[in-house]
Amino acid sequence: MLKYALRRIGASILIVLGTTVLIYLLLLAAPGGPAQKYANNPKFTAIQVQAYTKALGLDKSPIEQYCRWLGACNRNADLPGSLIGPTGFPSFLPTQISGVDSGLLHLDLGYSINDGNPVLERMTSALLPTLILAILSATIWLSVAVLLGVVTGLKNGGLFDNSVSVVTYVLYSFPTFLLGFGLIWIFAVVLHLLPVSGMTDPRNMPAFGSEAYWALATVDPLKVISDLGSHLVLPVATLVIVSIAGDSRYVRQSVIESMGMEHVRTARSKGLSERRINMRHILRTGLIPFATNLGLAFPFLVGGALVTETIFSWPGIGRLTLTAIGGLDYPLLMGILTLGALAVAIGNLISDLLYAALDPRVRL
Amino acid sequence: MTGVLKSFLGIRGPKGGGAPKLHAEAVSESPWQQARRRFFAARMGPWGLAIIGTIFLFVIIGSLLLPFDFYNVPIRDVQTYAGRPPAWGRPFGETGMLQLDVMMLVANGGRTSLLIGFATAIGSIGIGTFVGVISGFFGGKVDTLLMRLADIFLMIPSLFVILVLARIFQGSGGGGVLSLITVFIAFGWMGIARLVRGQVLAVREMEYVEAARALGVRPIRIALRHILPNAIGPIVVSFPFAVGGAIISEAFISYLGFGVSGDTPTWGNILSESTTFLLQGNWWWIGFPGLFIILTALSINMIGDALRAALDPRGRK
Repeated sequence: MLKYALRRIGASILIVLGTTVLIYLLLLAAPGGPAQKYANNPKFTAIQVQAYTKALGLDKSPIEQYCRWLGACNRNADLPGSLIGPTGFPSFLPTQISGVDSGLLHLDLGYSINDGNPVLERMTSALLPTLILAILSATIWLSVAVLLGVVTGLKNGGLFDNSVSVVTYVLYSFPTFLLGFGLIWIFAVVLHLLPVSGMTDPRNMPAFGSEAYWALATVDPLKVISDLGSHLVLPVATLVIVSIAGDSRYVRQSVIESMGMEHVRTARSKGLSERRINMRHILRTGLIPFATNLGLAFPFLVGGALVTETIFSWPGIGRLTLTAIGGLDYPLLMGILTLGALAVAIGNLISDLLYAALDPRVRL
Repeated sequence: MTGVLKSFLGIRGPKGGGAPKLHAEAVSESPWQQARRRFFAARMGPWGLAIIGTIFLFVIIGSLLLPFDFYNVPIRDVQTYAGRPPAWGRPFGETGMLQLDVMMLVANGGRTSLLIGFATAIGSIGIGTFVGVISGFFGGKVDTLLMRLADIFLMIPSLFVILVLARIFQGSGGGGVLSLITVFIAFGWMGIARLVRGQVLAVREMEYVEAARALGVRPIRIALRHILPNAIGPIVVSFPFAVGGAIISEAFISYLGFGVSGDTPTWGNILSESTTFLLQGNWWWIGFPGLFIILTALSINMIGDALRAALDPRGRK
């Protein structure tokens, strides 16, 4: 088991690196590029564009550019020499040994070319809102989906099951952004119950994450929580509704499948009570596929729900991505996409390991 | 009530249940005939077809009767900033600002959106099938290489990258339908490639393939005539889902303004400014195109599920 886990972790690291290479190539191969943004600006002379290109290292070969981004190359020298840091050790080693402090391997993702702030700083400040939204909605949606799936699965064919099936089927086809606008229309525009978007009320609250906000949170936590709560209702509801539809159908299906298995028939012929059969024999086997699927929800926790965050102007990773895309902020994009690939890899890893741990048929 | 729901979900048999015939005549039917009978026996398939057929009719007739002219905006006799609600003569209402007819936008936008949906599905499933057959049939190093490539493509958060590429193409003067379709296809082939590869691997070692090989049939012919037809089920089933996925993605991307540019209406970009007017009470601008997107997705899912049930060889009916 340990050996399998270690091998999978090694493979995941390689795949994430491969993915970053591919993303880097995609961004390089795409028409335009960072310097192109200023090429059509009449106030920028050709010399200035050239200087900009040189300052960003865009005149280097693609391999060297990627190598610098990764941190395996030292930015003070050219290719063969740059593999060795100022202290004489290879550049990819930790900063204390090699003396190199730039690049992914040294936890430095460069600077945003639009506002000059470190990419990592912008990403970490967007991570908290995303985590608040994602953890809250994932908790609700997973528990409701399991409950709904189990109840409809055990009593499949009944009136409740059929009604729920039709509703979830329709919701399953709902595009997230239309559902979000539907909820805004009903609860914010028509009924005036909840705020339209954002994370705090701009009229009488400081912006989320600012020092004034944390100060207020210690003085008057009730006000802060109620304000945050009212802004959370609609985005959480959107995420929950959209995800429940698919997941409860999935749980229902696997519960129905495990009801027909042979060990359930054996349990019944032994004369066990229905309750015991349901709890011990059907649910245990029926929920394994869903539990292993949990890992796939992990990228969502980190990457944020791009669509939902955009609709509700939630200042998380998803909206940061859109800002980066709109302004073609290449370093920021690289950082976010790497985080995304890492999250997918970790999610897949979790679900593989869970599968190996939970399913007794899998022997390693 | 339960009966209606059941028949909607296709749980009940074709003609209202009833006792099964004890001495049913043994009628032989081809797999395709059987699949067609099963597809129409469940209520979902025909309903899905009816809805999508109506949408197609609406889009085709509507875009012929009410052509879209980007450069020629009619001036309304009553001018309001937020647009007028649905009424006789303008059943879907008017947009804000330019006061365009929403029905005209929906009909013309649907043409592009459906085109993007079907072109993406054909392209990504074509490439996916090709890669899957090659990978499964030849095996070895080719297989490893192609499948690792698919792994890496699956690892990239696709919506993020699609948005990035759509934005970049837009910046370079594309902003067109074609570049969006290309991006969708580039990130849509992996699932079907894996699926087809699995099918091919399962079929490859069967006796009839061995027989064909022993007869000296060329590998290409074996792949096309003997192996591919046995992997066709999952390919057919994935088609409607690919169409629906592409239509929804396009709608979101164009709504954000990174997709198709405004002179070609789509179901996404006609909504791009509708949300500011939603807050002023203009619900019909986003409501009617939204209804069409939802109905399209719903009917396509219904067709897909009915196809899956009909083509599943393990099904008994």
